[in-house]
Amino acid sequence: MQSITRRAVFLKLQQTVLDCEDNSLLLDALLRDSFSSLSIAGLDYLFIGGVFFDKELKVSKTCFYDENTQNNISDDNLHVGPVSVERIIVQESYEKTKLLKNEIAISEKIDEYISEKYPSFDKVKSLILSPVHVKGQLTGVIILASIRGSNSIEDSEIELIEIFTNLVAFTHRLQETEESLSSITEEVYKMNAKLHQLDKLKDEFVSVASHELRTPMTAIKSFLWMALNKQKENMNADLKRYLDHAYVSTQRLINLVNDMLNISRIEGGRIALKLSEVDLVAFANDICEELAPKASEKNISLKSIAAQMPKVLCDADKIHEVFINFIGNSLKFTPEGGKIWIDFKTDKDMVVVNINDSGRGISKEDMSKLFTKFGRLDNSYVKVAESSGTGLGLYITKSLVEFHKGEVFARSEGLEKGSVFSFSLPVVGSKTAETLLETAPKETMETKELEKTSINL
Amino acid sequence: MDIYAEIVDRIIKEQQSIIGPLALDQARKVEGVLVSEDNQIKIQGNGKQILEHLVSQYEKFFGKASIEVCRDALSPIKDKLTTIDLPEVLKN
Repeated sequence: MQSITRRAVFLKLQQTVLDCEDNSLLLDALLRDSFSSLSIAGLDYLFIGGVFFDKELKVSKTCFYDENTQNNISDDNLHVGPVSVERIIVQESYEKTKLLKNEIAISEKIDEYISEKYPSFDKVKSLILSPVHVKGQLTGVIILASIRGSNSIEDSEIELIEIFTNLVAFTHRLQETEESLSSITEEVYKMNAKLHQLDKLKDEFVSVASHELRTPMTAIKSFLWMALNKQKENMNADLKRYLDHAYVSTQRLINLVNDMLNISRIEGGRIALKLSEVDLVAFANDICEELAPKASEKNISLKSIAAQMPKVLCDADKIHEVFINFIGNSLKFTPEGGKIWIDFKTDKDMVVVNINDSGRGISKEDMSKLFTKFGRLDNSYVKVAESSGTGLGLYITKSLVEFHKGEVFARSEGLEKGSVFSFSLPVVGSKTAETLLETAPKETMETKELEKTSINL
Repeated sequence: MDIYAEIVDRIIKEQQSIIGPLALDQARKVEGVLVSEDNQIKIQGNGKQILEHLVSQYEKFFGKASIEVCRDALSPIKDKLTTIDLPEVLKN
């Protein structure tokens, strides 16, 4: 056989493996094409087969192809077509010894290997057995039935069979790896599906528990308020202090329940966005007026710097909550007599709102805790205990802004040097705004409104 | 949105919540499912056939558990499905 022919056969078979779209049929495709390619090369085989096994000689796959075979992957692990697997790999023989040494064996003992019932039994003159060795072990045998006797099998043919065997071995390994990956993928999918279900159950639990908790908490708060404000006689100072603490703690619990409900709704995809065009500068002005009484309790200056800004596309109610959260935090952590001011920037695609304060500032180490669930800063525990912060506000704020395709930022020069909290929203008509219009979650039967945030200093 | 398109959208989103972006990768391989650059989903062709092929694509890569997930995706809209012709694999 000419080397050019060998090369052509090998390249064609290699391409068969590369072109096969369904990896589970790789071996199938390879054997089918081998049968025809080898025939074109002038090598007439009556059949091609293969058996693959593990260290314990447990057969993992057999395959067989002759001109009559339609489905050439066999379900029968005891035979490779008419050839007994046991005869090849179990019974001791001269051929088996050669295979174990990784050498091709050629046998003319046809009646010992092939069933007489095979229709072309009389035509088979020799069997070529080619070993597949992986990691130093015999893991498979390729079997070719030739119409020529062993003396007619040339060295060039043996060479081609060795190359072909290696290609089959690679293909088998590839298919095994693919099957293993498929199995792992399925297991990972099942685990993910289970986790997803547990997550849904958790959300449902939080939602139900929060609703059930809120009703009695609201009742407790009401009665505490009445006890504090509806007394006909002056209250003992100690008793008033105790009731004040109880009232603040109750409010804190109600806020926590509301925040947990909001997070449950956000993470469960039960929030819709009702988008409209909003003038953020005017919006911020209104909010400053709304919070002026709170700011004056601590003699804090709260103002919005006038600016010409394009309108943004947003859900006004959600962005109201964003402003309340940010300004509320600034009011909590800015000492008496301090300043809070809001300014704006735009790059024509987004408007950025900066809420600046002259408050306690944030250390570098604490920056990473911002915007995470319950990510309270170390110096804020006392403050939060005195007020009714939940540690969830910034996380909710971040989620709401990100729903709008915006971003949140925080900056601070350090402790006692104030801070700036910023968020961005898309300008009406911008590419981001168009994307938001297309992708914003729409109202469905499952969506709910957010619970309102309250600020307690 | 056409009801079949809505079902396809729900199934893909439910699969995304379990396997992330792989859900869109597999959906793109189904003839008739169009995924735009910003991951918006539309369908073109016979809705029932597209659904069948989509479920089959997920089953091919992720096994039988993925069929249950496809069915679960439809439970919030089951009232809308009484009058439409669903593939057998999605019927309870």
